[in-house]
Amino acid sequence: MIYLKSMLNVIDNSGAQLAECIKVLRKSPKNHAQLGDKIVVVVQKARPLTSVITGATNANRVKKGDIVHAVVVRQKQNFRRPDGSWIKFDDNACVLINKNNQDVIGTRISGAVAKEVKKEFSKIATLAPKVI
Amino acid sequence: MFSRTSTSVLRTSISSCLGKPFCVAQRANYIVPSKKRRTIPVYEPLATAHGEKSGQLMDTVRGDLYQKFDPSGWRRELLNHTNKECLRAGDIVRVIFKDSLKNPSYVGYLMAIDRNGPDSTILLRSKVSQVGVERRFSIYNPFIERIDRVRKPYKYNQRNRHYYIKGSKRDASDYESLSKRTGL
Amino acid sequence: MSLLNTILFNSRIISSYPKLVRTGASLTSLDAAVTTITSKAAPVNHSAEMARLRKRLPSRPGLVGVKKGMISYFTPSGEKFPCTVVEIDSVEVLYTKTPAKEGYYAVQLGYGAVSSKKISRAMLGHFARAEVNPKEAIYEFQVKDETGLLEIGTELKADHFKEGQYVDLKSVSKGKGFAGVMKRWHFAGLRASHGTSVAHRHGGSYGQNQTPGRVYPGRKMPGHMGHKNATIQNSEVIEVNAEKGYILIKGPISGANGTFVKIQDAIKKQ
Repeated sequence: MIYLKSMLNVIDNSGAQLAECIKVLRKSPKNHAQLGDKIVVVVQKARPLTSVITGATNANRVKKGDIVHAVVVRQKQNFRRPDGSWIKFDDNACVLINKNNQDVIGTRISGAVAKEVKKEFSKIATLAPKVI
Repeated sequence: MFSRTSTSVLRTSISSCLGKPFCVAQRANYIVPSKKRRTIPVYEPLATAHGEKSGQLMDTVRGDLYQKFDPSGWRRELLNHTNKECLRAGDIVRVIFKDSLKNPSYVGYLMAIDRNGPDSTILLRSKVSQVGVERRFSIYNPFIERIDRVRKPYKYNQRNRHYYIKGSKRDASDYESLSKRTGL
Repeated sequence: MSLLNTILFNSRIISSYPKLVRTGASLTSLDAAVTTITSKAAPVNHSAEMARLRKRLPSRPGLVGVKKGMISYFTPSGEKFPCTVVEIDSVEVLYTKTPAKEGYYAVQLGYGAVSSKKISRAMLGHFARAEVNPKEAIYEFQVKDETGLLEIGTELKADHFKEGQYVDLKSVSKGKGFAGVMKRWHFAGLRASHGTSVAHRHGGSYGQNQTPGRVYPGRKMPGHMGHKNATIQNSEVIEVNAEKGYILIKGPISGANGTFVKIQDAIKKQ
């Protein structure tokens, strides 16, 4: 249940740490994003550009106030799978993507992601240390 | 009562149970009760009629589904209260799927069991790379190949629902990496 | 020269005296004259007969069942979905209807068994004529033509339907009593604060003033909700057990447990 004003952890190395959802893309009339859905976020908290992040180039860094697209990879709300099992995480998290070519902005992902992202964003699943 | 094999021979009257004669013939301005009263045959229900069994049909269907989804009965044993080795909240449990390459097994702290016939589920909590994950599985799903109890607690808590462990010192930990390190 | 003459001669005739050719039939004898021609009258569309022919009807009757409850079901690949259990208990053909007498083709089915003491003598006679026991409920299924009619007294079992086929389910939905517009028609209601007084769950205006001076028909208002005939189309039959007398149908069925359900071949899948 990610919608306007939801705060999400950013789990890639793009420099953003916390992002706020401002739009759920192409989900009307449900208008809430779930695992694997695309959203538009504003970066609310980012690491300073002076700090060095391993594996990230400065060209790809985002800073506070940037508006970027993202994919929901973890959610607190229960999510039903076709086999009747349910999954939920302790936090809401997203991975930032490039608006034009749908590529991941960062180069590394920390933390587990749900396997629902695999369908459209297989690169996130390969970068993630654990896919559940 | 009429048996279906001999339809017209065995005729018994049911008029006694209906009281006064019912058939009337109407004339100009008054009604004359008819003296004649036909006997209507009443046939017995089919031999296959459900009758009393109708009330237990849901149990019958549940039994059929158990036979279908749990032919050997190990799933039912895991939920059976009378079985000493049944699952209990507080256990650490591993769920192994049939398609193990696509769906790796999942290990977690058993927070709750919902006993609801073929819809029974277990709720498992664990931490995966420092993030808490809760998953609920249907026990009778044929997709599940095996459910192993990895560890029993030293002492069972007197609760059947362990939702309160979240965020406390009893919270579930990363059993997957723990099992790799220490052989849980 | 002769050819030219002919052309000139003919052309002169045509231009001056047009040649009239008789194309219609000629009356050669008075006895052979046809005074009237009777043609077949076009069927009147606005008639019961034509209405029946226009109707989209199934080719065979369905089944009567009783909704017993819901249960979980799994496919071999592990997909989970809810199923409704429908009981099929001694369903027998009581009567068939034909256009000659009733104006349409239909099969009347009886369900279950009930004590003869609870049945009127008129109905006892009806059951006796079909040589079946007194039935708990009677339902009628219209069919397209006489090929769909069944012999009186035939028992229909759950295997009337095949696993995997689609059916339409007709039953009476749960009654909700006298309901307001928010529950019955999903109106939004009025504001919770800012001066709203005793009208938080009202529907607002029913229309204009002197023009038109009346409330338009079809205006959505509070009233009795539920307990109406409800049809669910294209539900899948998951499992059929003729021996134990039940059918599992994917998804829900309208009404409470114990409701009679008419199950028919899906009209839109034929």
